[in-house]
Amino acid sequence: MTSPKAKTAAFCGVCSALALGLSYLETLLPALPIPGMRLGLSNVVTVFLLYAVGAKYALAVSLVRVVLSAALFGSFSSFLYSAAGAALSFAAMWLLLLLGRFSLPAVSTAGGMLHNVGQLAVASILFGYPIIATAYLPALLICGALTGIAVGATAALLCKHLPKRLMKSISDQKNKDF
Amino acid sequence: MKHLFFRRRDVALYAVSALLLAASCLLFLPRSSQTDSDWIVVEVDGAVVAEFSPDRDTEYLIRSKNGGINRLVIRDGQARITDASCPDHVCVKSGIVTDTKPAVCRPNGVVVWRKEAAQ
Repeated sequence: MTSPKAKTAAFCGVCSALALGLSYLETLLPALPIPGMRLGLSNVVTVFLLYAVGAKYALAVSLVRVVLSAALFGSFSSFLYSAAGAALSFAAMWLLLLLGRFSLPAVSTAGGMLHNVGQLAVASILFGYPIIATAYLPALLICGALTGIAVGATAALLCKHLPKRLMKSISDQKNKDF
Repeated sequence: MKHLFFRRRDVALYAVSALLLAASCLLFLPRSSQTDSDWIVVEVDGAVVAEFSPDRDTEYLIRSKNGGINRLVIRDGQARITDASCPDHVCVKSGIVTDTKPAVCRPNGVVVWRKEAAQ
């Protein structure tokens, strides 16, 4: 028998690798018209883990992904942007799932919007100019909402179709309703 | 399982998101018709004689050296010449002054144009 600790470690490792791979995939896509706009593919992993497995696994994988993807494909400033965005959106999604019991696309919509708010806040500090109070805000909020809803729907599909024993064996919330 | 994609309470969260989005649009999207630092500039024989904010309704008689008069009217954020002493009235016919379409009166040497807000 595999020990539960080893199983958890392996599972988190696989998820981190998946998130990192999706981050890399995003760097291959052509530049999008609005600077700072991304698809947020790797957030599928975060949202899925947050809902199906547990907040601490989602946080750990998200942290690993932010640090490693900035180190491998980004720069220090891209690290600051994604760290702020990830922290803000993670906190919001965690609270919404915990307290509000909303469904995944709704939670992820809020997360996507707040991710971009976090990025704009950091950009405002780095540039010394309130970029957050310009037309960038509505533009990036719309992008965040659209990509967020897509990410949430994808994560919900994962929850529906992945074998339940996969999540149950790791999860510390045994009474999930999937 | 059945709640994975949608729950009724989601509506509230979507509504709050939409509200915040609308608020940010209203606050931060540039409005084309009434940017506060646009100016209506009046020139006679190449020299600036007056500048007006398009936000305040006003009327101004532009007097040129040859005794000609053009009446400039600013109303609802838009400027136009409504009257002119010259024979051709080109400036009157050219209508509302925009940043790409000034009102020009050749006989009186008058040019009225709109200076866009510096971005």
